[in-house]
Amino acid sequence: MRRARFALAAFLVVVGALPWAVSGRISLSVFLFIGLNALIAVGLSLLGGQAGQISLGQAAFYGIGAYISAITTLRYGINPWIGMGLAIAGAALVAYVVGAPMLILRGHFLVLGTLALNVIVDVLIRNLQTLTGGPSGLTGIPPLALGVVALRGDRAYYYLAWGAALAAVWLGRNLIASRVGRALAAIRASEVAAATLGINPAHYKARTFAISAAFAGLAGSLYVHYLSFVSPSPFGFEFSITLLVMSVLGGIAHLPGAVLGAAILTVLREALRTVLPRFFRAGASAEYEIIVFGLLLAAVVIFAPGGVWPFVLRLLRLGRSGTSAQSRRPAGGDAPSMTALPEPPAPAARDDVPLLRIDHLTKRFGGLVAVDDLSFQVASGEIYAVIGPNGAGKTTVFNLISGVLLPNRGVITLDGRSFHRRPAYDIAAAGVARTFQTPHVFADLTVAENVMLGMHRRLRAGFAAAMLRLTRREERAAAEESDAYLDQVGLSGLRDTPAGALPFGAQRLLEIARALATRPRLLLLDEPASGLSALERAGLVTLIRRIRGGGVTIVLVEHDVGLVMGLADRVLVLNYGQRIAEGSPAAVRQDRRVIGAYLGEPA
Amino acid sequence: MTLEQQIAQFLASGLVNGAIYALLGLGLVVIFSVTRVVNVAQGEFAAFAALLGATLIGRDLPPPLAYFIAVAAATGLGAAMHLVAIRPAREATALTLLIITIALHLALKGLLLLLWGTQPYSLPPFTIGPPLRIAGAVFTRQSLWVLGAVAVILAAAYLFFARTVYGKSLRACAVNPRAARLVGISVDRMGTLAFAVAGGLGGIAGILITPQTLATYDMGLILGLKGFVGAVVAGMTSYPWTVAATLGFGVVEALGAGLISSAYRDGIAFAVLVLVLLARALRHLREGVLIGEEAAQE
Amino acid sequence: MNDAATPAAPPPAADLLVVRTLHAWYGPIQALRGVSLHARAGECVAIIGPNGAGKTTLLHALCGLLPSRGRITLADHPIAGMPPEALVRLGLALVPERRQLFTTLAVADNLLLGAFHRRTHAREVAEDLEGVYRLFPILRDRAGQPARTLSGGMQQMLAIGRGLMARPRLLLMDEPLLGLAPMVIREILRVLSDLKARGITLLLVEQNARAALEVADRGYVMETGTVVLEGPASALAENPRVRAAYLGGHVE
Repeated sequence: MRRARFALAAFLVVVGALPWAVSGRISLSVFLFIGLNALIAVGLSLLGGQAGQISLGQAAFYGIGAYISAITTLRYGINPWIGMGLAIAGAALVAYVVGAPMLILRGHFLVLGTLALNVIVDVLIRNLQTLTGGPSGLTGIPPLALGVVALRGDRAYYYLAWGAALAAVWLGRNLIASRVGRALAAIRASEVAAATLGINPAHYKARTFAISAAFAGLAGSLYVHYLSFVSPSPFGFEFSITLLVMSVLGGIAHLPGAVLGAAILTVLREALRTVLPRFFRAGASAEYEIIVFGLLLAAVVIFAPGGVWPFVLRLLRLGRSGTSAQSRRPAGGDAPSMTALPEPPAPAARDDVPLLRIDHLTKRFGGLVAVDDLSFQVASGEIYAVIGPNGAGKTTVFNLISGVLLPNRGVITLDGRSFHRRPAYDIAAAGVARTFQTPHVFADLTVAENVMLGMHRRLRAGFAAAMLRLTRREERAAAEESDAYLDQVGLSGLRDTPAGALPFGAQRLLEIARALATRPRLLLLDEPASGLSALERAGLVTLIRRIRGGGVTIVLVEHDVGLVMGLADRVLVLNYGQRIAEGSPAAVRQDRRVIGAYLGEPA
Repeated sequence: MTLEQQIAQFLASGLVNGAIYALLGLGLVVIFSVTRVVNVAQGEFAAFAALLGATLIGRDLPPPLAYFIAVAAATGLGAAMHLVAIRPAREATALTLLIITIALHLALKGLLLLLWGTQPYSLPPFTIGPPLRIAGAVFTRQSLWVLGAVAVILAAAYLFFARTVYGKSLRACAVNPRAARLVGISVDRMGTLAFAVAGGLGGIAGILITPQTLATYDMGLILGLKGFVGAVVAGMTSYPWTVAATLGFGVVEALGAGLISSAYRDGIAFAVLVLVLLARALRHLREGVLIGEEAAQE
Repeated sequence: MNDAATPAAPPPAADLLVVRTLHAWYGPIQALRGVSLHARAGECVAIIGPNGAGKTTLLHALCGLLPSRGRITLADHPIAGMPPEALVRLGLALVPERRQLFTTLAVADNLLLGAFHRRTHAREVAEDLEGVYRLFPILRDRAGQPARTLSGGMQQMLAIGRGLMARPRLLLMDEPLLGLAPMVIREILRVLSDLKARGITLLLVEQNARAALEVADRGYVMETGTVVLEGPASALAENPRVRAAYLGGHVE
């Protein structure tokens, strides 16, 4: 920890003192451009590393920011700082409106969509000549000013660029360590599981995209005020590709890596431009960098897919970056718990209204009817089991209730509220939590972080608060509450263990703790006993009874019919997606149709 | 020229361009359906074949032979690409594979630059003669060759996929790779075959387009992207729809460039792509396909 | 369990498949805990048991779709760890759970691809195709239709036919009766008897114990990754412990 602080301080000193160190000998502008490129690359790494999306259109946002600043200050005489604000907002807005819908699609669609966007922006810039000055661009753009003092020259903008880049890293790291960053990590690990915790993946990805565009827009604004000139050439898709190389080179999961990647590549580019003309025909030399970049990208992806930054850390013996900052208790001892987190409203249990009601639920997969006109009810506080032979449709029913799948027909009614074809995050918000057949824990996050993701909907911190580190109090309360859930399932003391390192039985318990952290009314357990030893099964039964005692209604799917018989109040038997029996465990066990379903019809 | 005649002309040139994009789109879909890789370097096959063909003709090889060698080389390049860069990375995530193809695109483009420089090259038209007037539009002889060649290739592709064992096994891999392994189909080898087919298709596209527009080392990306538009509309899975969509796209591009402004040509093309992607996204939203991964059948 | 009324059986045929202490993991769960079984040439062996018992995992491990530890031999040839592409050439074919057909390809193409590893022997492949059509005439009627347009029962026949096109010595079948109407089940059982008569060794994993034990010679009952009972099919069919294995109460 101390080493890291020392290294950071040393780095800041170097950055701060550089203009004097190089004055007269080397032009400062190269270092200035490293700062600008780093600013954009940090946004790209944030998007790529955290939201898991690659954009090949960041140069377009760079250009949008640049031209908004240029046009507002030059043509309309607007104060450059306000123009900068407009540039940032404009870039973010375009990203949100155009990019957000594309983020719903798989990754490669966004890549090519952003590439297309880049081309469109480039074409527009070149052809809307009256506005943008066309291919020759605009000159005489006024500089930024501090009061009456106009900021001109390399030094001022060098500090602005680096200040912005470092601020971007700071904001980004705050975001990663916050509730929002947790949600992004969950989305990366499993969008389905994240959705069942009430997280809407598109929402988070879109806003992250907007932030990455905002950084690029800011860089564009600084660029035009520095050069007092703008033309379309730096904003083509080739630069977007170069930016990607910078990010990947540094290591897309590490924001400081983006700065490193920008530095390496910018220096490399300059070196190539001075060195290559000696070997190759002049004029084309600037383009030979393509080969070098391509080979570099390939080499990084093959030999060091995590990028160069982890090596640097190891070299400086700074330990591994990216260890979760979230579950660390804030230094300064255990302050008494502040405001407890808000509980979701608990409507009084009404005996006449079933907690869960399923009406005519139907799901077809192509020609196969997986769930066939199924109807049943579960009373509040019941333990209700769903059993049936393989292929009977049990997990499909769960997926339908939790919103992971949309039904072809049928209505799900929760405590009187009807849901028809609502997505998983809406149903989770209504108080439904679930576990999965194989535990969908977020393996790279700690146990505590997994549980805190269960609390996601009950916390508030949004992007702005997260980036500005205004969420300490809430995080602390959440961390304390997470301990309570771990205690309930018997995982106390494991809060900082990475979830992926837990043995299988413990992962199951973690999933249950996470589900409990959502304070659900209804808990769906999908084969919770599978893979557990006899001892673990006994513990599970006790836990389920205790959970029900706490007022949670439980529906479970199970194959271990013995376990079900001892635990459930009522049992529903499915076969071929239809209900074939329902009643008390004892009755169902003797039912001839049930026996026939399991063992096969008599000849 | 009356407006009608103009439109007829745009339709004609749009069809011709669309036909070429269709070859690229097909190549993209073959690769994607078998290997789940989006090949950003698809256009480089066309650039490579065009430049190689130009050089061979410059060395006085008879054109048919030069073209054959160029296309064969592109086919080989495709297979090599898979063996060298894609197959070893078969465990990688989709994103990593995408970055690998971006790296391939850059490296190949650089290679082309190294070997052929920045100057444009041209190929002679297949036959010499005055343009013909058909259905109110003027067709250069070369554009008729293009249409004819693409029609033949599409027919050949259809026969390949519908009638030959390898075509069927490629389709089988795309539909159900696990079942394909169970009947003895090596998914790796099919990947190489898919890349080779895509290389050949791209190479033919390069040869066909160059007599009317010049070939340069960097022509690949935009060309590949235009093929991608049609492929995306068709959902990256259906060959006939990919062809139909790219033809349609070629026409839209020509009409847009002709009726609005030719400077906006590429912009219109990609605006169509962005709109198509947005439409898909909205449809996904409505169908609740948030959960692309889990088919969740029991 | 001997029955003195049975006439002296002919000397047992050689073991075609021998599995010894097979362990396999499905992700973090150990799904097979030391399973041992064997199948003699020409036999039909059923593997029954409740869901989650590891039956499908067993077949996947045998086919090389899943890593495993233990010994597997096919006609004394060790095959543990070989990938499915290689096993099919040695005469082992799998009819997978839920059929896994090439849905968009035609019925005939599905069958022809079943013989992919023998594609160079065109005439033999054509003969085998004829044979499959004679076994399942309804497939001949629909030879040109895409596989997904077939009903469940016909799809199952197609899947079996595809498996047969590999000319297997050992045919593994994963829940072929799943989701089928009783009449279709009859039909499939008839086909399985037919195959037995032709000398193809069958390893039949089924949840539908009664039907499976009808056609099988011997059976194994699995529960949570191990074999808990084995014996002649007729004996197992009447064993109350089989029912207990399915409906709770563990087998002592």
